[in-house]
Parts: sequence; structure tokens; C-alpha cells
Amino acid sequence: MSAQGSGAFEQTLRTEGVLFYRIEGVSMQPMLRQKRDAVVVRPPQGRLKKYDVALYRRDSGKYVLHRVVRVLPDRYVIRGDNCFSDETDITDREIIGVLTDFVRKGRQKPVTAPSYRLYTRLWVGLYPVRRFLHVCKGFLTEGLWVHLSGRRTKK
Amino acid sequence: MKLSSDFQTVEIDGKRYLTSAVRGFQGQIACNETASFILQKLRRRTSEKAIVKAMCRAFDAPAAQIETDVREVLDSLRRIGALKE
Repeated sequence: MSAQGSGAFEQTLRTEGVLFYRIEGVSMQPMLRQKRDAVVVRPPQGRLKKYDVALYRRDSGKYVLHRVVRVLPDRYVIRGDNCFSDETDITDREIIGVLTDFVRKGRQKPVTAPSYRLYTRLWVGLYPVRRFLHVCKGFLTEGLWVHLSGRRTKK
Repeated sequence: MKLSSDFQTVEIDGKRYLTSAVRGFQGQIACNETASFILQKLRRRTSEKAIVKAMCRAFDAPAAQIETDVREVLDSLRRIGALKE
């Protein structure tokens, strides 16, 4: 869930107090679908909490919208819902905003909705299972590829 | 006419915003009361005439003024490719 920018998001948040944009990228699927769903981001009020979706800017200038999966005293552990690796060095300095609503099929859904809260708990809680299945899938695909491409060592 | 599915609207603190991921369209548009009303109507297929009629019922303003305002907003939406005719 990323975009390249030069401070445009920060500028909009400063002037409007709110940022509304269509997302690009697949890293927050299944919650957010590329070029179909839109998100509402507001400036953070204090430190973020676990399950919050943070908008932050990497040193490369790339904007990223990923979920906080762990809050540490000086930084956050952040991961996209469709990702299997963590970013462990995001501090409050990089955080630009926090997701408050998203729009799917014209319907506005606040992050305070019980269905959304249930989804976040389940999705984050089931991460070890999802990761295990992902590794298995990768192993099977890689194994099949090795078989089909004839890269197996002949005796 | 209808709002293109490439565009999304949202109401935040009583104010309506429009955005899109269409190439060439950047950022968000904060709508005034007229544009907000029209965008609401454009969520379903409608016509300029029907929008003007609905606005005349909802707002206490001269019909001629409403017609001009509606045309202006629709023209702006056409320019950014937000209208599906």
C-alpha cells in the first residue's frame, strides 16, 4: 500500500486536517483492494496503538499504509495485512497519519466498527498460521518448479 | 449520467470529499454544499434535469441560479473524467 510523494500528503493533512485517497498496492489486502478502495487518514493524536493502520513515509520518500502489530517504547513493529515481513524501525517521527475510515463500494466504514475490530484481531492473531501456510505454499511451488524445470540432480 | 466508479466520495465531519486513483488525477477535492448534494445524486444514474429538480426542492434558491450551479459542477466533474454519461 504505497505511493511516491514529495510531501503532498503532509501538506494536505496540515491544510485540510484530513487526507482522502484511493490506495495503490496489494500489501493491505484483503482489507483494502488496489485502486478500488479509498482511505481516510487523519493526523495521529498521541502514540499509535496496536491494530492502528499507520501512514508513514520511508526515507526513500515512499508513503506506506501498514498496520501496527506491536508498540515498543521508542518505535513500532509494522506489517501490511498481506505481507510476511515486519518493519521494526518506524518511529513516531515517520508517522504522518492514522487510518480512521475506509470506503468500499461507496460505503464508508469507520475503524471503530465492531466487524472491523473483529477482523483486525483475527487477522493479526492468525498471523503465525497464515505465515506457516505461506511458507508451505512457497515450498510446494518452489519444489514443483525445480521438478518441472529439470533442475533436480540426477543420480 | 453517473459518478464514474474510478471516483470515490466520503463525508468527513459534515464535509464531502472526492478522490480517485485515475492516472493524472492527484489528491482530493473538498466539495461545497451544492457539489456535495450533486455527488450524492450521482451515486445512482440520473440526469441534469432530475438533479436540478431535486435541488429546487431541497434549497431555497431561484431555479435559474440552481441550473447554473448544477451545470458548473457537472462541467467540472466532466473535466476530471468523473462523469459516466
